[in-house]
This record gives sequence, C-alpha cells and structure tokens, in this order.
Amino acid sequence: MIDEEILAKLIADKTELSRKEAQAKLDELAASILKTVNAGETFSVEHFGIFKKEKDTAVFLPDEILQKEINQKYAGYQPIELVGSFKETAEALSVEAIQRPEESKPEGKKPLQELPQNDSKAESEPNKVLADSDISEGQTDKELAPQTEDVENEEAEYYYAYDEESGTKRVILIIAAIIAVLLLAGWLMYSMGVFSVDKTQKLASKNNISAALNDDTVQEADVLENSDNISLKVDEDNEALNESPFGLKGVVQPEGKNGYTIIIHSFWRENKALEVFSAVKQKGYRTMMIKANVDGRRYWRIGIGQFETIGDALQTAKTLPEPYKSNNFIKHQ
Amino acid sequence: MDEAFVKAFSEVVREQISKKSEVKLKGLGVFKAKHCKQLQQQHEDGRVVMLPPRDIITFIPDSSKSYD
Repeated sequence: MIDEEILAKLIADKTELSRKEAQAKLDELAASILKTVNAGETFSVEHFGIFKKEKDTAVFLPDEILQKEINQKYAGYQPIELVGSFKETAEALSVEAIQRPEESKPEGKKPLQELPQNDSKAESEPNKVLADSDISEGQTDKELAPQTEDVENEEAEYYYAYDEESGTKRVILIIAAIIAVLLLAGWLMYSMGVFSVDKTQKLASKNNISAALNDDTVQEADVLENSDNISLKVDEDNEALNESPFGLKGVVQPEGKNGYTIIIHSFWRENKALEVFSAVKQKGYRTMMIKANVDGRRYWRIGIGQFETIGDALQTAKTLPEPYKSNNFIKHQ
Repeated sequence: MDEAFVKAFSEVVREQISKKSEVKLKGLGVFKAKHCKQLQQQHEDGRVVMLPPRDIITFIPDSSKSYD
C-alpha cells in the first residue's frame, strides 16, 4: 500500500518540491476535494478524474486516459457478439455440423477481426507505445474469448456424437444377443429331437453315432477272421417257426444260423447293447446280440436280419433307413 | 492548485495503480485496481455479447468522514 509518505516522496522526485512541501500539497488537495464534494459540487483533476457526491458518498469517476492506462493489458479487446449463439447450438447438434466441425470455428473469430476497425484512431494513439510493449500478452489473452465458445460447441458436438455412437452399438449388441439365443435354442431342440418325426429313431441314431465313433468298423472288418470266442445270443421267442430262415424282419430263425447278418451297432458296455437290442427288435427286425473280441477288447454287436449270402445282405443293407444304411458291416453268424 | 503538482500527482497514482498497488490519500480514501473477468451479456433482442476482461480503477472513500 502506498501511503501519504511514499506518495509525497514519489511526487517530490517528479517535481522540484521537497517531501514536506509535497506532503502539505497533498493534504491541501485532499481537503479541497472534500470541501467541494461536501458542497455537492464536482472536483475535477486534469488527466485523472472527477470527484463528486452520490447518495451521501463520494464517488470517483476516472478519466478516459486513466482508464486506458489501467486497462492497457487488455487494450484492443472488443466485445464479441456471439452470432446466433442459441441457434448455433441447435445447428451444432445436427448431422451436418458433426460431419463438418471445422466450418464452425471461423465464425467465432470473424467478429474479432472485424470490430477493431470500428475503433477510433484517437483512442489508440496515446496508448500506442504502451500497447506495443504488451502485444505478446494481449495476443495470448485475445484467444481466450473465442476459444471458450468453440470449446463449448465442440463439447456439445462431442457429447451428441458420443451418445449417437453408443446408441447404435447398443442396438447391434442386442440384435447379436437375440440371434445367439435363437441359435442356441435351435441347436438344443435339434439335439433333443424336436424336429424329427420318430423320436426313438433319433435316439437310436444318436447312440449309433456315438457307437460309430467308438468302434472302428474298418479295423473290425479286417479282424473278423481273427476274433475269438464268438457267441450267439438268439432271441428265445421262437413263435414264428414257419417264417423263412432268411430275411430282415420277423423273428430270428435257428435255421438261418449259418447265414450272414448286418451289424448296425457295436458297444463296449453290455447294458447299452441290451437297451438298443430291445429298441431295434421292437421295430420288427430280426435282431441278435453278438459278443466279439477285437484285440483283447470286448464288443457287443447288434445285428439285424439273416441272409444266405453276403450279396443278399449287402442289397438289403441298401434298403435300410439311415443311419443304418451307411453305418453297417456284414458278419457271418 | 499547482499544475505541476497535480500533473505529478496523477502520474504517480496512475503508475502505482497500473502496478496493482493501492494508493491511500489521507482524508479522502483509497484508490485500487480491480480486475473484471469476461462475461456474457444478453440483450433484449436476443443477441449475446461476450465482454472482454478488463482492469478498472476503483475509489473507496474514507468512511470516517461524513458527507452530508
């Protein structure tokens, strides 16, 4: 804080007065200002300002030169009209503005370039020297006003674009999830056998597929001759003895023992083999269960039909429904 | 009033205020520099104007003195 002593000293340095004289003059100045203001009049100090009374208090109105000098840092700054500011935000949210954001920037800077031309030259001259010294500071500050506006608009654009993107992404995710659920449901239904006419057939095919994976038909066909301990389990119901010894359907005939049969299943577990045996038999086939050993491993085979020759068996095998048609081999009983 | 004195007085006060110092005048009050931030001003016709920041000089009168 600059008090009277320092003020007097500074004034004394500027003039030829001594400090005491400057102090005295300051007091005299203050007293005359007070007196004038109390009387309701205005006291004017050249190149400084006006003192006057307003509503029981003294008021100081600075001179224009003084104002300019105090505000030299922001000299040249002019008010900027935000052209269509409210309209621009609505436009900024439109699709075109988002696609071409660079076009909005020059609009904010145009008034700044145009307005200084309107400034009177008389004002700029006295402050010319001082303004030049602070050009670098002024320029950096000049960028403040348009930047804030542009940042706000850019933020608005940014937020709108972000919301739009997240919305479309969400829709895509939902659609993908629905498709995945439908595919899963379809696969489950297919595996459960909902789409097939005969459920038992589907179950049998499922078992056969697992059996086909388990057994190696090619190997077994090659090893037929080397298999040991072949036993024959014949259906004990010999009701239809009047049937021909050979055929696909009906009851297994003891006369057809020396014939050939079509092996349609091969299991490791006996329980499983028995299950499938009864299922296949229910379909009306001459079904038999045969135990076989291949490379020390026991297999339980389900065979259907009794045929005199391999050719007959092969021909009949072609008439079988899938998957038996393509998953079988001929075996001598 | 001495012109030279008044001129010197105004110059000194201007310099000090420019340096953001407070100048106290005994019996009168205190001269201060005040900074005003930029602000938006909306006119009645809907126009919005951005006023730039500025520094102004303010005077706080001495409260002990009465101004009747």
